[in-house]
Amino acid sequence: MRPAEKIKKMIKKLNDTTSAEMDKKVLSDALQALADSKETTSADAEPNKWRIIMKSRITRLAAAAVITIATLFGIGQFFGGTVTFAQVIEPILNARTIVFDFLVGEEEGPVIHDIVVGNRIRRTFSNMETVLILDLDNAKMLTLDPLNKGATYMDIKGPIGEQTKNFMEFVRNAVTRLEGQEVEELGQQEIDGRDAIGFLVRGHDEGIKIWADSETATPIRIELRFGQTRYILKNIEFDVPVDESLLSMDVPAGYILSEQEFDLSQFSEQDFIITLRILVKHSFGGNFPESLGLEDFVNMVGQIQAEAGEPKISEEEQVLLGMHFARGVMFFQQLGPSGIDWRYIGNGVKLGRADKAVFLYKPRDSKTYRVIYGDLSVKDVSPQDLPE
Amino acid sequence: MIEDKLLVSRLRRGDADAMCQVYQKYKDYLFTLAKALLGGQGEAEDVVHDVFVSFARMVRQLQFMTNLKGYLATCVGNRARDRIRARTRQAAANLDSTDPVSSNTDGPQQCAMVQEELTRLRQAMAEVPYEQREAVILHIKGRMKFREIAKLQGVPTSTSCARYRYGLDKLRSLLNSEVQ
Repeated sequence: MRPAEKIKKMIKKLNDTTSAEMDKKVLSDALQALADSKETTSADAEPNKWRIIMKSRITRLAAAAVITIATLFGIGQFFGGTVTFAQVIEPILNARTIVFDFLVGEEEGPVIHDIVVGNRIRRTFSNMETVLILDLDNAKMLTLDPLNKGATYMDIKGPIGEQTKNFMEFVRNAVTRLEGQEVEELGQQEIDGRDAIGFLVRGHDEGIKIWADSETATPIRIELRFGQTRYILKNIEFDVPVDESLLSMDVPAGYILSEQEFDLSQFSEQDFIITLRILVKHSFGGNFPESLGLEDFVNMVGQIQAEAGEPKISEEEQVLLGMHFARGVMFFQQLGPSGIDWRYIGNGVKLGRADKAVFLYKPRDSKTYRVIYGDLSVKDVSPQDLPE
Repeated sequence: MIEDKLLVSRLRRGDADAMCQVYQKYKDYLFTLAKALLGGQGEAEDVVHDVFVSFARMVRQLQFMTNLKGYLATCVGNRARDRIRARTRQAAANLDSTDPVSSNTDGPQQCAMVQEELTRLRQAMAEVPYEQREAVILHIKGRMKFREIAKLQGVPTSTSCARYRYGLDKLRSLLNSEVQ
């Protein structure tokens, strides 16, 4: 072997390892530095308490619905593959500013429009006037009701806050989860008037399809599937100039703010029953809907906002209803991720019918199912006696 | 590469677990680079510490990063240079008496031979002018391209190539008797 080659080989053999003591010190300091780099608040007290500061004129029920929508997408992580695909996901992972439309379910459904700048999000909805501004660093949310000039601040700490994410984060998590899976090229297609190249990655019970501009490799449409639910991100723009005042957490001039406590630290079956009642009564004319899924909650938010403004419901009732409604959605949300067996069987059942089951679930460690009927009564039923 | 992109993406969002993963993935590589550049264990530890702490502090502000490994190696290179500049005299770097060893150990006798060989290599490297040593270590061990080394050194690519050649020649000369 030539001397130079031997020297190179010797240099390659250099392999020093850090000590456990050093690892401990470096990691400790680095993690502290990482934590310090976040703009944190001292709001670690009240870990499971949401305090909502609500203006009397704001529609509390709608605000509560909005809270739940803001947190509905906190589902838990993608792939190897080609350099081209790596290019495509680059802006998804690293863009500081992202503007996009988000849909749950079908293309025709209500559109959620997000402007994301770092960890701030401005979220608006096609089916209601409410504006959300989320400060994820400080676990705060500002809700604005432009019609009534009402403003709401709320803390979004604790488990619920952890689920309150930028929808693009939802995509990033899917990318992470599907890492190592084969990337399938879908070829070229015109998407939203642009020549696009498509990629598909499939996981066990999920998949992600990304259409990217064939020249710039910038994603223009992303479709996610988790189980039976489909999510669409479209009209995506990365790192475009944004008026950052749109993401200010200050209450805009002319808006009025007042305080009221709103506790979402716990939820129960009873909350879910109230949610079902509100849903059926106010959004479906007294008949249970065809299905009960995430998209149904998204679809009904606008209707609830309209209904909750009716004069028969006092402000106090609205607050209570809003709180129970939000808790009920939380109860529903945690069923699947908690591994709890549940079924919705209420299609077409009239509210008040005691002989027709609408929903059933099996609490953890329980031998029997809890069955909710059309009159919203509940019974414990053994598995062999469950309704069809 | 994609794994690194995901890690950086998570770090930008303050994910502590991602920080641990990055540290575990690159700590030995960076420590080896730092020690090869500086010679002393303590200084190398300080450099790796400072690189990770600074990285953690800045990662949320960092713009587009194409290569995490290369970025961290460059940081080690920069910090090692700062330390070299801070020394009143370059002279001989502080060689620790207890040097770790290579991972290639086929047996006690082989291990002892490798240790001795690497100790001589470290001693020889300490005598190579820093810029040349830097080019040699970062190219061979750090797998950095000459244009990346040139950028770090603030010189044209041809200069970093020349420094690499001169450094390798110097090492060959110093180790001549050992490697024939």
